[in-house]
Amino acid sequence: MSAHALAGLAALNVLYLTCGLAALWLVRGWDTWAQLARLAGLAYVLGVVAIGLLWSLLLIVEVPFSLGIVVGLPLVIAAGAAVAARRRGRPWPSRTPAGSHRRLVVTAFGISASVLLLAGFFRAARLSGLYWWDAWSFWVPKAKAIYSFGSLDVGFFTTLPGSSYPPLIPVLDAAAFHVMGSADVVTLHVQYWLFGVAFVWALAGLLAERVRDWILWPFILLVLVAPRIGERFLVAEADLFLDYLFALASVLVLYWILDRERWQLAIAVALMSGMVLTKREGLLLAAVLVGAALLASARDWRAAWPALGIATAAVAVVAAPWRVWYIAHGVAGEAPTDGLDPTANAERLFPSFRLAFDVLLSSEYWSVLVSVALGALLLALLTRAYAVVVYFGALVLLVTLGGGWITWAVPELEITQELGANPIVRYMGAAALACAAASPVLLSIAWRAVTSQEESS
Amino acid sequence: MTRLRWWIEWPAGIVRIGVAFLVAVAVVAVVVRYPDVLRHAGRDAARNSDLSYSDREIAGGNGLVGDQNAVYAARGLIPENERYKVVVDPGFGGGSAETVQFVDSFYRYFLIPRRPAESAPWLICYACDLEPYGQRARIVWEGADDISIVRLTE
Repeated sequence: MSAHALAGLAALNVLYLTCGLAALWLVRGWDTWAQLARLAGLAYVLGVVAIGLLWSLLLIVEVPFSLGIVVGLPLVIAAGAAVAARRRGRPWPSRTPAGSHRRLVVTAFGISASVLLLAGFFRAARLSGLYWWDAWSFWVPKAKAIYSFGSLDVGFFTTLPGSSYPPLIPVLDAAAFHVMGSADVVTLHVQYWLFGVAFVWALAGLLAERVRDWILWPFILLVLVAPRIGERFLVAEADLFLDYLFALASVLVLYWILDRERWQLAIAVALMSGMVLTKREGLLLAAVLVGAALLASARDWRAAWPALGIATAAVAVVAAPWRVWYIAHGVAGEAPTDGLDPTANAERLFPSFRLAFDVLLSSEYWSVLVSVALGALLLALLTRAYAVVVYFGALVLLVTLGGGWITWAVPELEITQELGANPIVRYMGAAALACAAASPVLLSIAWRAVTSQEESS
Repeated sequence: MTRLRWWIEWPAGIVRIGVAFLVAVAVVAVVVRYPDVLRHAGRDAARNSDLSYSDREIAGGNGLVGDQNAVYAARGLIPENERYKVVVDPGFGGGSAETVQFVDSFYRYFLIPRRPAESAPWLICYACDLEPYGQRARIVWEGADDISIVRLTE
């Protein structure tokens, strides 16, 4: 780890943020500087995903991955989006008066407690070695190969474990290596820490639009202290990154169901596209998200479903090139060997689904995130917030059923929570983070329903 | 009294109590875990900081490679554009229980941009039998536990 590596990494991440801010300015616009600051985390994630997707697609069509592409593409995107935003008449953000004193105190306390923890995680990340099996056995080797060879070297990629896993994460790692000046796998942990920080910022910023501060911040902090989440911010693997995208996309899709603002669905589509190029499970999770959205918007299906169809088609278009690449190079596919045959491995059916529900409800992994979310669903149901309850209920249920299906349909997987023998615990992080996003929204809706009733009577 | 009724009236009061209760559960969970998580992060930071450069760089391979010098020798001796093969005798007694099965995976990660190949001019030999290579095999580095780097000549 050197100052040069850290400076390079900082510059790359400023580029991600700049791109995201410009893109969000174009599709959404900025009303105030405070709003810009609140949504800067989401802008960063959008920037990472948008640039990462373009880098990945260029790599798949054999454009050499060089330092020029790493630096030039984000600059072009940022400048293009900013010019387009100005031409579209998007105004500069304006200044607004500060909020109420009590709100500021709660927010300041929440931010301070989060920053203290994140600083602790940074100290652990900045000199960490690469210990995680999947990280050094294929995620980082892929990244080092892209960095060294400038391409998806067929001979190398097709012989690695997880060779059909999509390239987004290795591409982002390789970009980090380019700006650091070497394949510095120690400093790479700081990049993952930054992804974690951005996720927390994005989630808090998005939820703050609808959730009261005293409800919001306990859940943001709960995400940070949950055993399988905050302390894994530094892990140089794709699991948490996928979960971040899933949780943020789930909030944006819900907001779209409630508000029908195009930018919400547009950014959700970008994040879902990132999911399908991050891990194989990304396809399943994107399908789950669309399925939950279809159910929750069923009462207004004429207006909602065509838009969801277009969104799904857009994600499929992004997912296709990588699948074409690996099939063309003779790599075994992503579907479980026994696919959807309900008669295959019948004896594994019940234990597989029970395993998924056991992991979902485990406080050992997620602290009280899931149990509180279930309570919040019940309270929101009492206040008749049916669309939101159906959406989040279906989301968590479908993710869990998906986890059970993976274990059931892949007979090579042992029915166990052992990390090396079954990916169920890593996969279910998506459900846990969806619960972290759902709880504050559901509780805030329930609270508003019973307090506004009182105000009107 | 009015205030109490606000909390217990049906169904709104029950929902209010429910919301307050669930937020309180989250707060308690945070308060209980926060100091531990912070302490744990500090402990990890101190442990990482205390590592030697090689322990930190080899990290996950420390339990596999047997002799750290071997991976550095391989990186120093094998040119970046050449190919190598890791050959491990099934009875290799050094390293750990996983060495025989997985040490080649670690070299594949560590030695990029050098590529592994079945037919390669370089061998990373873990107690391997060099007999079949005869005079072609020239040992260029030898370390502990019968690990060696071998150059095969034409």
